[in-house]
Amino acid sequence: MRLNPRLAQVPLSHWLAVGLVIALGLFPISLALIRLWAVTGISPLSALTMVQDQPGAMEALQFSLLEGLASTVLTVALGVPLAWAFGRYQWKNLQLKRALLFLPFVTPPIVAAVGFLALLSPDGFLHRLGFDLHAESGFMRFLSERSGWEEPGHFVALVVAHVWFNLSLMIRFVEPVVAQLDPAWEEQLALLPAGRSKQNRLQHLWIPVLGPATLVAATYTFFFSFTSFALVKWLAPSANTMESLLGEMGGTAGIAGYRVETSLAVLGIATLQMLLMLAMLVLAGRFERQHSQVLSMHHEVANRARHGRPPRPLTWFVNGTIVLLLAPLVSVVIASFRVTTRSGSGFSSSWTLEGWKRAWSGDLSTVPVLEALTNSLTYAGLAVLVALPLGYAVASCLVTLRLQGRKRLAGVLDSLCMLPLSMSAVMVGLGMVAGILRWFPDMFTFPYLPVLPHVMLVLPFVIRLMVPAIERIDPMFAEQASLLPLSSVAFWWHARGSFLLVPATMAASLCLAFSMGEFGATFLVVRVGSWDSLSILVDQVASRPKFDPYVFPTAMALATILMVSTLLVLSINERARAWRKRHDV
Amino acid sequence: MMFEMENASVRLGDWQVFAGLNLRVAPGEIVSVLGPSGCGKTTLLRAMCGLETMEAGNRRLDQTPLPDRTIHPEITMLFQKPVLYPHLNVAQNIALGAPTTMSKADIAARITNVLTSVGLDGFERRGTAALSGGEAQRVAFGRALMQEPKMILLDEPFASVDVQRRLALAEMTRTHLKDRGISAVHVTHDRQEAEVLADRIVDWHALAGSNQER
Repeated sequence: MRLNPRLAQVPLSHWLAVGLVIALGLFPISLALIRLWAVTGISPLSALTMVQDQPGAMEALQFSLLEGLASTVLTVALGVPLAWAFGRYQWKNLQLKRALLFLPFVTPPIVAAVGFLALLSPDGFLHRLGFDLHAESGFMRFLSERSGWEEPGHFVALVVAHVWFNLSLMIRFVEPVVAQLDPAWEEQLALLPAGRSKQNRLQHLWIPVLGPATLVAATYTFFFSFTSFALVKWLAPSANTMESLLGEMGGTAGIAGYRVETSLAVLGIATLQMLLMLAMLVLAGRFERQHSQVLSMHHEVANRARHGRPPRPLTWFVNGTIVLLLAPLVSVVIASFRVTTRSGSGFSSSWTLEGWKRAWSGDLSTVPVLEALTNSLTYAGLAVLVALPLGYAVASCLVTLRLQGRKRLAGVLDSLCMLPLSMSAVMVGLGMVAGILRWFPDMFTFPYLPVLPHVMLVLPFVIRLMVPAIERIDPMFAEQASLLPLSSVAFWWHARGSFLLVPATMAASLCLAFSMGEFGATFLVVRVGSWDSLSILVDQVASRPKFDPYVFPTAMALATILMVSTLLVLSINERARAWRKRHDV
Repeated sequence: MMFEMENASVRLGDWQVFAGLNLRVAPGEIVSVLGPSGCGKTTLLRAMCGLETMEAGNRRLDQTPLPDRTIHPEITMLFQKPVLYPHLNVAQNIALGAPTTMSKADIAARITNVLTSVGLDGFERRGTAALSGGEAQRVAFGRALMQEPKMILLDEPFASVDVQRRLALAEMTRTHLKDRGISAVHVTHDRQEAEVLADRIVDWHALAGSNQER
């Protein structure tokens, strides 16, 4: 791709955008670390050496590593065969199946958490199969007695939920490699002595080809499981990941002369978590570069047609997985209409609309559902309005720098702009609370404060979507436009803007969905009841004591509303994707 | 309008595409540069219109030097693969060539005239995806005419069309250029096409190799 004279330089506005995005990523967390340093009198590096002395810190690190590893191994074990089967054959309703398989990844974590709670509740499907989260009866008691492991239900439920979340990630990375693999590779190998047996083909073809994509997805799976917050809070309440420990303690950290030991613990844990996250992102980046070398090799439709319809066992496998993936979401809806009461030594359940009535009236929450939904939509809408132009300007700057041959500078700026992604939602929230609010307490009264962490969290997604979209535009359009009598605005529109409408729509809907479901940062930042978003409301109601049997259906009704509104927003994304495929833009 | 390239050199990475190249195009003259594929003909046109950086040398328009990599509004180019914007229909694509001062009514009337003159009557509302290679190139040519340029650079514009139509298109192009007194530099590897279109044929090797025109 050659640079057009009118697009050859990075405009000042784009440099300013890059500066602002980097400052947004660095400023709050740096301020937070400085604040914690000032309050405790101990530097972040010294605090790091004292982490092992902080109550709960080593347990949290151990638990994070263990559940992260277990979640990753299981996701790879289930996800790779699933992606291989899904990518190789001609499936009926391919687009629909793909959208359903992607659904868990974009489901708000709090909805997933209460969905699994519903499955594990006395009226739930998993409970009936013997998976009991609380009383540890049935299969879990068997496991507990045999292994001597206390409360295995919490750990198993958490790992299952993480696998549920990250399967779609594995499919997104591995399926295209299988679907686009040049058939000549497989055919040639079959004619060579090295490809005669299945084991040899696995060794010489499938592992080298699928390995990098699997490693990328596995690293991200570990990353997301390691930084899990809403799921840990609800499915494993007696344990802590480092993220949930920070979430618990972060709210009171950074206050001068008040609970200094908490500030010290937060400083040490936050520094450790940040270093671990950065290491993981560097690793993921390295695997991603290897992965990009094997992609885009052959036309997907022709490839699928060569292998025809899937064998029946694989159809059952894929369709069965889709049903299982939908189970927690369907459970949320069903549980919103069910009330379970204790009768004698057991439980009895019946149908009810009371949960929906209470959700609507706001009897059990700080604000009624409509107000929370308005808050969520306002935060999400404002976040997109800020993130989209900023993200475009950054992406445009990165593409121009690469085309100018300044790849190293582009790489450094790219990494700095991705910083919020390496910090996890709770760290971003901590940056806001201990960084911004402790220094500028007046901002406590700024009603749009939650927009800031949302912008930080969605910006990396916008940049990641915009960079390839800009790179995909044929430079001939800009060259032709530069030879026509067009104004600067018309030139930009015909050379670039018109081609970015669909990617921008996709980025906007994804950001809206992520922002609406965001929980970790909002949980830390929201300080005024009337600011509560829908995800906070779900957590708030579900946290209430369960003496009132209608608390659970009310929380489920709120989760249903959050889930449906997120899915509606995401349907715009799927429509835009389908439009782009049809028009090949 | 007299256009001159003097001692022009272009390098793309390690490849010295040409060096010390001289070319003069008289007002209303059509020059064809004949050379094999991949020899650098397209790069010459890109340098002429300011899309490529020149390592050395000058471009002059009516004796006035043109700064490197600047695009003169009266020079346009027809690319080998016609560039039509997929989000616009045929008429909207042609309208992009209209001078910014022209009224909407005048633009509409001019589009109809241009489409008639390139043999595409009634194509105004058609999408660009449905056009054949020849039709698309005629739309791009119509848009170039709409610009009322003093010079058009033609980069193998009929390459995607069969031989018979190619010659007919070359003849149509020559008629339009001569009627309007537009200068042109046309690059091709097809001598027959060059003979139909050009007033003067220049061999690439002579032009780029020994700095001489023929």
